[in-house]
Amino acid sequence: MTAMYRIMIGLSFILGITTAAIALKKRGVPGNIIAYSAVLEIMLSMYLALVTAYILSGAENYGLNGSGGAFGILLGAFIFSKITPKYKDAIYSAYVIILPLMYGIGKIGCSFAGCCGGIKLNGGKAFPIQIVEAIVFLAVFAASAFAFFKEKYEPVTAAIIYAAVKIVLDFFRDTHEEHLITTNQVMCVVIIALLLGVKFISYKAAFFKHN
Amino acid sequence: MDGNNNMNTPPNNGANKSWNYDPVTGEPIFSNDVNLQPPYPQAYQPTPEQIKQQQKIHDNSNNTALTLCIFSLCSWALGNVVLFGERILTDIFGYYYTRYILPTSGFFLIAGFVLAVIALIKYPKNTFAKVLVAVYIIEVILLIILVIIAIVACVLVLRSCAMSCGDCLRIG
Repeated sequence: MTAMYRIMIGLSFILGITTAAIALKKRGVPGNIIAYSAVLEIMLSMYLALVTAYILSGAENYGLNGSGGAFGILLGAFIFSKITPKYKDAIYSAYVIILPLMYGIGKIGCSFAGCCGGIKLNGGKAFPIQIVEAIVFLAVFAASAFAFFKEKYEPVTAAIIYAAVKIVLDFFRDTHEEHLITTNQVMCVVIIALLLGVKFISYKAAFFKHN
Repeated sequence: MDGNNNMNTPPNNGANKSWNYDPVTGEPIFSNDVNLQPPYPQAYQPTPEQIKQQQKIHDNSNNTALTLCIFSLCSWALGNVVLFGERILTDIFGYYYTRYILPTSGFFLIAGFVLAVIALIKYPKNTFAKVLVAVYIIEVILLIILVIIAIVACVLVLRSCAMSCGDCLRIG
C-alpha cells in the first residue's frame, strides 16, 4: 500500500505541473518560460515539503509536508511573477489552480498508506478524513477549473478559500486529539494572512492609480 | 547595363510633370505635384539575422548578465558541495553537517537556478546563462531519477529481506 502512496504522490506532481503548463499555454505564455517555471516549481515544492517536515519533526526526520509543498508552489509563482511581470496573472492562476488537484491526489495516496488518519469516532472507528479531503479538494479543483475557463478565476481569493477549507478539514484529523490547533492550521493561517496582505496592497495600488 | 540605367531613369514626357514609383507594381506614377520627388535610396535596414547577431553580442558582453551567471554558478556549486561532500564536511563539521548544513543544500541549488533564469530571461541570447540553465535542468532530472531508483531499490531490498533474505543480493 505504501507503493500506491508513492505512485499517487508522483502522479500528483506530474498531473499538477502538466495542468499548470496547459493553463499557461492557454494564456499565451511562451514555451521556454513555462518550462523554467515548471522546473522551479518542482524544485521549490519538493524542497519546502521536505524541509517543512524536517523542521516540524524537530530536525529529526525527513518526510513530505503538504502545506510546505503548497507554500513552495506559491513562493515559486511569486518569484516567477517578479521575473516575468508580463505574465504575472497567468502564472498565479496556473500555479494556484493546481493546489487542490495535487493535494486531493496526494490524499488518495494517504488513504492507501493509512497515514494522516481521522479523529476517533464514538464506536472507536477512525473518521475517513483522507478520502473526505480527497473528494472535497478534487471538487474544489473542478469548481476552480470551471471558473478558470469562464475567465472568472481570481487566484488570491481562491488560495485563501483553499487554505480556509484545509483549516476546517484539519479539525477532523487525529492530530487534534492532542492539540487544539495543529501546525498545519497555523501554517494555513500564516498563508491566509500573507495573501490578505497581498490583496490589500493590490487594492491600495489600484485605488491610488485610479485617483 | 544600359537597360538597367534606363529602368532607373524616370521617363519625363512633360516639362512640368514630377514623378514617383508605385510601391506595388514598380510602375512610375505621374503627377503634376511638384512636391513629389524622385525616390531616394531607402535607409539601411539590418536583416533579421544581423539583428540576432547584434543582440547576441550585446547579451554576451553585458556585465549584469555575467555577474548574475557567476553568482548563480557559485550558488549552484556550493549547493552541490553541501549535497555531495558528505565525507569531507562531516569531518569538518561533525554532527552539525547532517543536522543543520545538509538541509540548506536545496536552498543554494534553487537560488542558483533562479539567478540563471533571471539572466536568461533578461538577456535571452546570453550563451553562459543558456548553458547554466541547461546543465541545472539536466542535474535536476538526474537527481529525481536517482531518488526514484533509490526508493525502488530500498523497497525491493526490504521486501525481499522481510520474506526470506534468500534473494536480496546476499546482503541479509
